[in-house]
Amino acid sequence: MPNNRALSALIEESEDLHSDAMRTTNAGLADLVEQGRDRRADGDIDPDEIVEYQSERSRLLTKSLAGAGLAGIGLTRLLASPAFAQSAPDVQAAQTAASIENLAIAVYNQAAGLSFMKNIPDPAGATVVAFVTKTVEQHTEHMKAFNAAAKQLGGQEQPGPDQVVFDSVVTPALPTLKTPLDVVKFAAELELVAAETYLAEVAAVSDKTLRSTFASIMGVENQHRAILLAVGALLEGGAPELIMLGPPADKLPAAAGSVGFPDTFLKTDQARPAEEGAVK
Amino acid sequence: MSTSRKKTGVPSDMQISERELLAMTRDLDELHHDTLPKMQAAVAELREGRGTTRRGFLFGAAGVTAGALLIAACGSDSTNKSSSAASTAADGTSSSNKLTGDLAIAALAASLENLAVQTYQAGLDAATAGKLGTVPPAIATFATTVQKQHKDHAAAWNAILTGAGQSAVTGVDKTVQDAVVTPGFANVHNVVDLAKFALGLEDVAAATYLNGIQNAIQDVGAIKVAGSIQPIEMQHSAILHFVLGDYPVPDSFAKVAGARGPDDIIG
Repeated sequence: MPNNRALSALIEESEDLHSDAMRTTNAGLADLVEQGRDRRADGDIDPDEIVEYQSERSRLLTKSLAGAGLAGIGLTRLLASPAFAQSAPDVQAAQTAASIENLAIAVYNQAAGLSFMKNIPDPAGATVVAFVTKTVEQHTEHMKAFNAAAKQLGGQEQPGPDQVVFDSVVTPALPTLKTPLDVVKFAAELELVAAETYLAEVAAVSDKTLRSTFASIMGVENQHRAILLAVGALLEGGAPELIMLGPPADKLPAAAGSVGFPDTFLKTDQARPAEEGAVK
Repeated sequence: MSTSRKKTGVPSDMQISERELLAMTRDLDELHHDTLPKMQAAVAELREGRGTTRRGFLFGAAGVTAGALLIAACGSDSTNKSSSAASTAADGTSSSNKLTGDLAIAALAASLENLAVQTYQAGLDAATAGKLGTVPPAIATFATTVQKQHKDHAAAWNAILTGAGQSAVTGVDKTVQDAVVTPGFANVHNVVDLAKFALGLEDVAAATYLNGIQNAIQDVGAIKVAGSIQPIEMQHSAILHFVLGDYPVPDSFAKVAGARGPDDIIG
């Protein structure tokens, strides 16, 4: 049975989510206004305007450093480096996306090998293993799609992970992952970073095919996050026995009905810079 | 996914009373209003600091600031525009179907969001009336939360429309309502039926946004709005799949199958 105190806390947390979501949506939309550009999306884009766009986007990301978790870590170092941005913006965006997918694949695979992840009692254990397996497959397909786009646009494939995030976030975080809940929360953050990065690029890239690719993937990453949030809430609430496809709905805590979609609008404050994972 | 698949059934005991359901709805509404002062303050700040510069969401020939969008998404502080739009719709003279280009997509999106709001309300009403049998608390929370998000999505699109000098869309996508919702809802007898029905609507909404981004919308601001909503509809879909016992992320790439177009009748 779920721990009642933990479930109550979960419910309270869920209620807070609404306020938080609206506040952060506010900030995200305000950022959209601040970075508003009258850019057309039909492919006829002034390169200078793109440079300005990237500069503005980096400025916004830098501004969010304080308490920004994944969004801020390593960004200062990246922005201080003149070495990136060697190819066309769309190619860089596709390569960075591929690098984020490679990163996700590496993290899921590494997490799946942790001993405590292999010993989660069923049904949660089987559910989590199946989810990880399928999600790695899907990230692999995404990576291939982004690399195909990069090549189509005249660039190279990106075979490696987003090194900035890997070095600054993943490497230090891995030793701190002690429980399945830690892993689920960490994976949910990575999925959010992916979804928000792709949303930012949907509006930024000029190639329509690449835009379509970003658009068709961002929602899938957000679905991964939804399930991870739901699973995390059940783990945190002491109800791992409810982690299964088709859980007994009458036994789910009320908060389980909303914990998977805390935001009314997807934001971009966790988006990675378009150049970050570009092939150097 | 799991080896212990278990289809959601209708439990034997009533899990939530009418009073509890109404209280939950009221609480969510209060939560919504709790956020307004903060958001309005931010909007005021925007207007004071950068109010004279028309930037951000340009839509067709007319512009609307994200501040206005934000206000409308809160469901307040746009009284004049909203009341004007409401009266237009009440007269049955909505010009939504006369719109073209991005504005037509905005109207379509608003009408689909309104249809979702209406359908979830019908589900909540049926639950309150005891017509769906047992309604687990998590299902009630899902319906009330998702309905509120759809309201905010509709408000976002309507802010764009009114900002462009057009009437807000208060009607629903009649084409979908008449062909799908009305006949389909008649077959909703329990929460599992309702979840399956809602899943269909969420998938249509997500597909419509994706199709808009990929094939129809020209303005980058509108692409951002559609892009910020489509992944949320997909999250709704994932949770519904999960509760229904299906794999929650069935596709590696979102699809446009089922997307609606601007030829749909809005009323």
